[in-house]
Amino acid sequence: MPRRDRAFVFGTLAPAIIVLVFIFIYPLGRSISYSFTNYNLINRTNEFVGVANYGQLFHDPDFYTALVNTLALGICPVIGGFVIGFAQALVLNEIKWGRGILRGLALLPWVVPQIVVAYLFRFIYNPSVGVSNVLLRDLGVIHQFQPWLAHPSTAPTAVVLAYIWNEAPFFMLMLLAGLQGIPTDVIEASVVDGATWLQRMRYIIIPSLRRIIGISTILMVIWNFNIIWPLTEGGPVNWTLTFSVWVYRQAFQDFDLGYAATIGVLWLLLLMLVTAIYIRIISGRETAV
Amino acid sequence: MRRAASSIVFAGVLGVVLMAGGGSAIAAGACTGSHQEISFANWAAAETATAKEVANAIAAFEKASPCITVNSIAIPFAETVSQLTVMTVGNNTPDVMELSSGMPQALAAEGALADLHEDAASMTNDIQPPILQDGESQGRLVALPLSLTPHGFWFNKSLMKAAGLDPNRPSQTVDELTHDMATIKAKLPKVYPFAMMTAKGAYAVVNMWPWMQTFCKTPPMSNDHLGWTQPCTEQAFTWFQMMAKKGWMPVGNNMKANRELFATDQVAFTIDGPYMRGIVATINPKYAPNAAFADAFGAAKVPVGPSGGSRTAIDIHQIAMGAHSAHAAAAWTFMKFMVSSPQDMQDFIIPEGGLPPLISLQKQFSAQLDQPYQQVWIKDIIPEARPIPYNANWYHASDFMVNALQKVVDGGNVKSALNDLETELKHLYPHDQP
Repeated sequence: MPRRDRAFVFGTLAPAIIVLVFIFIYPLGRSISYSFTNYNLINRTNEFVGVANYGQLFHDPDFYTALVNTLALGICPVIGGFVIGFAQALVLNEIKWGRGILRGLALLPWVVPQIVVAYLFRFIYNPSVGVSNVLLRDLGVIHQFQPWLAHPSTAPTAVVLAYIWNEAPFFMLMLLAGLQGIPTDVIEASVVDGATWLQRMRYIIIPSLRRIIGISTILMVIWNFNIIWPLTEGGPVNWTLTFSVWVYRQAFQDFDLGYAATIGVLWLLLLMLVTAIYIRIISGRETAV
Repeated sequence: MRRAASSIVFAGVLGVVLMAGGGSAIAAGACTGSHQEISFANWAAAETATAKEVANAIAAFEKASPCITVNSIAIPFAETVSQLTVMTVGNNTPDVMELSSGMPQALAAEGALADLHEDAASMTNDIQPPILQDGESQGRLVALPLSLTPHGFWFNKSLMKAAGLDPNRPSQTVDELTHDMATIKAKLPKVYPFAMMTAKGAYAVVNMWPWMQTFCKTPPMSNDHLGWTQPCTEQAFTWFQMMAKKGWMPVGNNMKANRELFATDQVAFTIDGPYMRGIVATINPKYAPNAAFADAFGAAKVPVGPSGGSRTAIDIHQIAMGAHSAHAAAAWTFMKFMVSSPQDMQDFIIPEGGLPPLISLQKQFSAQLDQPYQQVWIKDIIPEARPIPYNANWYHASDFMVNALQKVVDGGNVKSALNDLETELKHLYPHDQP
């Protein structure tokens, strides 16, 4: 590449690289370095402690609670959202008239900011005037109003349902785009050959959507931790405590930045590991197909 | 011709500019010394209900002290400690801060607050000793009371009457309260006889604390002991559990939700500050007139429990000075005005629903504080208020306390919840000395 072109390429890339360094690389580096210190704003300590924070983390019962909850509250909404979103996409793909309007309406929950979703569901679950209580009582499912977000048996499910409502449209949008990309002659040929709906799904549609499914599910697993804090603050007790809630509590309530950074770094490593395994599985299957 | 017109316009503009400059020169003329600007971080300016009142108080101060300008920094209440901590770390602590009970101890541990012993010497005798103690940390006086808002016992007269109870005789003891709650639930099944915060959040501990003081002569975290496994604590938590199990109180509610229920006649008894009067009027305008409110609601001291006396927790608004304020003298002048000036009481403290922090001001304003609930606060509640044993790690510790409360109201074993709490706190306070 001529020197002038190279200068142009670097010149155009430089702003993005500078922004990336300041908002991603630098904070990441600082977080990793904090994880080896006892940096605490209340005690005003900031000394190198080696891997002591990591040792403490593995002995902390909250770590295992957060790990299980993070996995459960990360995976369950994605499965639920995917199933509903896929169903919506299949229906919308078949509809010829008014598809644009229906797709716009179905997308509404996705465009609502997550903080608004959290407050909306707090109202829906309200133990005194919540719509969920009124509806279930009128249907005869419950006899008295329930504090859905206050009981350990119901709070995690309530959180998952809020996520599903918010995330399903994203899956719908991605999968609908994928469905519309499948050549119609392939589908028509399979119909002519006598393939059933299930066979078409298994041998044509799902394999064609595999890459989209892979990317959208992994994105959702990474993104979906913003509703819990305004909805339950990790409670009741620690039944909805996830890594993100725990990091926030440690950093901004207890001001233990060293320990918060340790949790954050470990969470990042876990996400990278899960993503790598998932992508490997997906790409492996793709090769097999 | 055009040139002449331009000259006239220019002269006009110049005149206006000079007049404006002259105006500010006149205003500044009242200041004979050097002019100083101090910063005042407060949540009153961040809340619609009090923004105007605090602005009025600041304007009155600036009029009285023309050499000092107050730069009001609005911080939402829930973010006060975190934002002030970040500001302190960045060597940008405000000159003056509005705080709430518990915050001074956390911020003092960070080295954010100045010792006020010398400055406040002239007024400490005019403050009830437990109220003064609430602003102390490690032997230093780091905050002064700004507005007295300890928790008292609120009752709904209309609901009591509907349940066949005497609306003018609120429960005097915990046993009576338990009996009254049973009566209300039996007669009015849709009403919650009682409400306390059991949602996640440090304020749940504040709301629970009057009962810890009512059940225990030496409440937990006092006298250098954790004290969560003592029999009185178990008794209090068993009582909480009983109320939750019988449906006598809503479970998982925060203060806002409980206040809404109380204001709409769905809760009979609760524990809250004197500002409840304003909150009720805002939520339910039919109770805005004083007479309507006094007909429907009453306040009393917290029922007497096994500890032998009526006790309540001091949960007040305070004012503190930044440890490294570059304008300490000006900051103190402002603080003194906020704490001791009748003008501030009239403009800010009384309209926001609090009570004057100085005993002399409480007497001076007794004619204005003539509502029955205000009299109860001055005569019965403030004298019985005792500080919550706050310390630097309190916010971290309160998370464990709320966990224990939530386990219990959800039906968990009381003994094991309190044992777990004691164990968790031992990690936080290794020497068993909170």
